[in-house]
Amino acid sequence: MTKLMVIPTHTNVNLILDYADAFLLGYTGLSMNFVNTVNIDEIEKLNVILKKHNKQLWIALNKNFHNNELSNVKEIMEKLSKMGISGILYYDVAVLQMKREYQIDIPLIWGAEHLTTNYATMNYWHSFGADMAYVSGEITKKEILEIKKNTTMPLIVPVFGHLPMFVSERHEVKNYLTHFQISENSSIYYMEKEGKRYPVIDNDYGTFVYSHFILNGYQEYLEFEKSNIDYVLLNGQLIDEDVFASIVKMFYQKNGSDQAIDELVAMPTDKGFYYKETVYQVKNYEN
Amino acid sequence: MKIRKPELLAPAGDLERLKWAIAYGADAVYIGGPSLGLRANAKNFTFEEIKEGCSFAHERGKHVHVTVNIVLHNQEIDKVKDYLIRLEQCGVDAIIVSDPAIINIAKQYTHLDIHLSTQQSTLNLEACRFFEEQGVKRIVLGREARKEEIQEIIHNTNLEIECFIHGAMCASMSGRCVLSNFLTARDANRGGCSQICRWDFDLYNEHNKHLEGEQPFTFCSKDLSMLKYLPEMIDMGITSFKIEGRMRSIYYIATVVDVYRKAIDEYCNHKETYTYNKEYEAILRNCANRDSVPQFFGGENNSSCGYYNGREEVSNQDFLGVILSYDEKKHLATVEQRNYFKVGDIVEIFGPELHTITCQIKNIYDQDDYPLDVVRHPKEIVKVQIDEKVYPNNLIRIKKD
Repeated sequence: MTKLMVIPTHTNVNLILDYADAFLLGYTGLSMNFVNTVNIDEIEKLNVILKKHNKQLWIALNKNFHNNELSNVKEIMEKLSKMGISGILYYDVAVLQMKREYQIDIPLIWGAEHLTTNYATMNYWHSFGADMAYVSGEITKKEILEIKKNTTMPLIVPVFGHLPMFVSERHEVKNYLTHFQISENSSIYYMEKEGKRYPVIDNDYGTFVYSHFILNGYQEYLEFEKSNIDYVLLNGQLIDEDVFASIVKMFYQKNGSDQAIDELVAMPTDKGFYYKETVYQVKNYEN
Repeated sequence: MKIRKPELLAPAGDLERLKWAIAYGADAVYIGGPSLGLRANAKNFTFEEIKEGCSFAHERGKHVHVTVNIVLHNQEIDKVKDYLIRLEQCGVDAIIVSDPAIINIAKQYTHLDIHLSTQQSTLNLEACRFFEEQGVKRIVLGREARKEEIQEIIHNTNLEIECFIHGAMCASMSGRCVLSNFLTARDANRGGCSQICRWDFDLYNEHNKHLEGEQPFTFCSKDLSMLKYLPEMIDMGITSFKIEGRMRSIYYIATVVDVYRKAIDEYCNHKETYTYNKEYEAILRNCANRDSVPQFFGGENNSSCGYYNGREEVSNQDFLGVILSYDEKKHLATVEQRNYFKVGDIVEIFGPELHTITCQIKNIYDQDDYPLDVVRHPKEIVKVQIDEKVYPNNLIRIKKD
């Protein structure tokens, strides 16, 4: 049975505790694309609660790390290992390397966002000790199912929420505001083009942009389950907490529909790239 | 005192550019092959052209690296092996790889050197160690790498380290931007980037207030230029200095390679007397028609790196012509025109054989030796009086203050 992994709207998980199988949260200062993050003390408390309810807790350490962050990352990895959380989602291979080098006993999810697009690379990381893979949001349903057939690595497939589009160490909004001497301090911004509004976060760690739509893969979730996809991911960030709880419950009870979710979120929804192939233009000269 | 010179690595979008880059002083070029690269809109090389390019380079003691830096999708997996074997047969020295699955295939079926692409955004020692253990010879570090971490990586691994020194910058971390996928259905990590970061957007705060400066909101960054930091980078022992721009013009490539070739040689051959040449900085600025700054290396990641000009960039008219031949007796150069020029213009002539010559154009003649005042027509062949000896493929540009 396909498990439900969720990124909660906030770090409080009470509303969805009964419906989700696994929780994925960002670590303060060491994660990217996580709007709300937790520190080691908060993880410890959360882990006790989730273990009591037989739920999994995964922590994302998914920054691209600079050298001066490595010792802290290692220390956190060791603490998380001792704590016995379910594991770590990583982007930077430094996490995998430190697990190997320092024999840190903790499962890993390869979560390199847009780079997790094929089974050969999944198998590559699996052979080096990555336990699961979080599949890119920019590949088709057909490709996802083909990956599943060609890897033994458990997969996590996004089915709900805003999709990440852009990560930068630059402070794109703050720099613009500074340059034009505009006094503003929003926690979230929106950039608009052709009637579409993209949420933008510019915080201490850089700039992050998200899709203007909410991925609604309810129908596909039912198909993924038939194909033995291991986990689907529901991302509650930037979504009303009560609405998200209702949606997680709907997935859990399998009593929903695409339309029911559309009505609940009251925002633009989309099928993302499930049925849309992106263009790859390099011509094949065969001479 | 002479010190070790880093490799000067230039982009080449086609065979012609490869030859110009090498002629102007590049130690190696990087090119895109017929497939699996990240510049879908560049002309790219056929296998025959790669073979010819490798022969041309190797005869001159230079190297050719081929970008195989696509992020693979399932349907490409089976094509990689044959593709790499063919690249090796063409004489390619190294492949630049982003997707690690290609590392294993390359190791299993070829002896090609493996360079890890900047698309992996490698910024730290542990990540470098992993790839070194997997047989990667060189890592192109992420553009966000700071001086201290580059130094630490060099000291603690046997890897060759390659860093960008000039050209356009991604606004995002490499590999972590799919704006192009979402806004235009062109895959940024598979060669289709449509440079959404240079588009204008309307910006709003959380209360729906339009935040409007004198120019619209954009992610557009100034270009990178590491000219000021060149001595420091050489002293650090960075293996290769990379110039961005496989889709750039011959004039751009020749100019940028020429400036960095001269700066590197001047520093490495005469470190004690080396001084920063502001004229080089002006030449680089003029040839790109875009501002350039050092950015992350020295920690200058701030509003000075943003480019808020409303995209009002005018095309560069500095490049006046190419010298085809020179008559030493008559002091006449045969020139192919590239932009309007006239009698009285102050120009600079540069090339690998020359220190830059500055002179005023006194006389111009057509091919029948009739005097001309101006040269208006693209690719028009004319004769220009130049007193100092110049060489075929030297370039003429307008002298700017």
